[in-house]
Amino acid sequence: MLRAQRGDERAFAELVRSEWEVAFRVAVLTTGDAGEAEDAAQEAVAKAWRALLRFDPDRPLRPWLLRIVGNEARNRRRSAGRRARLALRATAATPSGDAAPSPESTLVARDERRRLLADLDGLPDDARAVLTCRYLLDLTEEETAAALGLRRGTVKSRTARALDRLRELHDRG
Amino acid sequence: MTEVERALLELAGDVAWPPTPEPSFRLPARGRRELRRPVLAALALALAGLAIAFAVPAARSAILHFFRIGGARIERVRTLPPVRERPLAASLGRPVSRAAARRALGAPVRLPAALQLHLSSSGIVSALVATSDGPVLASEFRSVPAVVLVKKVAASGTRIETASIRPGTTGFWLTGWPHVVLEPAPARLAGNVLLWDDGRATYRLEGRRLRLATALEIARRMGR
Repeated sequence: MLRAQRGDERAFAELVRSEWEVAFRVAVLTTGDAGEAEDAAQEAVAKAWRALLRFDPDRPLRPWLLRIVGNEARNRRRSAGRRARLALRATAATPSGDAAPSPESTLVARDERRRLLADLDGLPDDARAVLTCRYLLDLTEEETAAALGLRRGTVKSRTARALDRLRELHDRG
Repeated sequence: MTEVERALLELAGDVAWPPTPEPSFRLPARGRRELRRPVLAALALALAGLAIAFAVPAARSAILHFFRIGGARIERVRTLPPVRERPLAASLGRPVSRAAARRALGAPVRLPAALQLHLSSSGIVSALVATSDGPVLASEFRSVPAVVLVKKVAASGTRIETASIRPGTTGFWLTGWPHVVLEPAPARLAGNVLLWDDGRATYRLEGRRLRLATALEIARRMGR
């Protein structure tokens, strides 16, 4: 980090590369469009580079970077004047495991995953975003708060409500 | 962890995200060349701008909107924003060792020895100095042309003069009406300030009753 703060672009690129995928996915979640998300994430990285001297090197990089990415993605979504939403879909791959599952149990498991994902996708935007960050992107509360521009307490309460809602939907289905 | 939380975590690997593009970092100019730009040239430019602005009253409002010295930016405004006075120690940051301050600055700390150093979240190293003019807030931070760490606004009642810190180093002395420090936050009214830059870092001494002679004495003790 200190090398990056002294102007070493390669050191900065190394730091950001490890966060790039999650940064891009946060931007996808916010903009709802892969192309827009790529532009937002790239622009956010440029902004992070310009602001790097203001970053406290004793603090974790990810929340700071995700805050910049989230802000950039929200600004772009607002500018676009639309509320695009990229549907969450499951991959076609089967889950891995130590023992080979039977074809029947594989189908049941796949169906169950698809149904849960569809239920998550059917939640209101706020609830869907917070659960996606916390569980699908495996972000901490602090990182989720930074990415979504929320307070940590709001993330906590919103997560609890969203989980309740998801449970209801899933049980009903 | 509840059943639904566990199921969501297991789902994480199954989501079909759009393919992550290769990062192509188009980093704006904040490179080494810029870091190494001779600061004397920047200072000379700032002084030339000041001289023109003060010499030509009509041009004053047009030209003297702002100027930079190291990592600080000073803007001339008609009226100051409504802010209140805060204690000098209000935004010092957390106490740090001299070694930690050195790491943050990327170079040896010039602030007087035997003082408790503090580091703000924006990378400013500060200490309170007891002087015959009362407490003085002494700060230093990196000088990077593209980055402003301290931003001040001054109305016409604040005099801004040049001051010779030592041969080859000229600074600015802000006195008269209090001016406002907008950054680092929170914004606050500031007293008299001596501000200078040595190409490596920007230095700032502030005190409500601080006199130029005292400020220069501290500045010269800080070495080069």
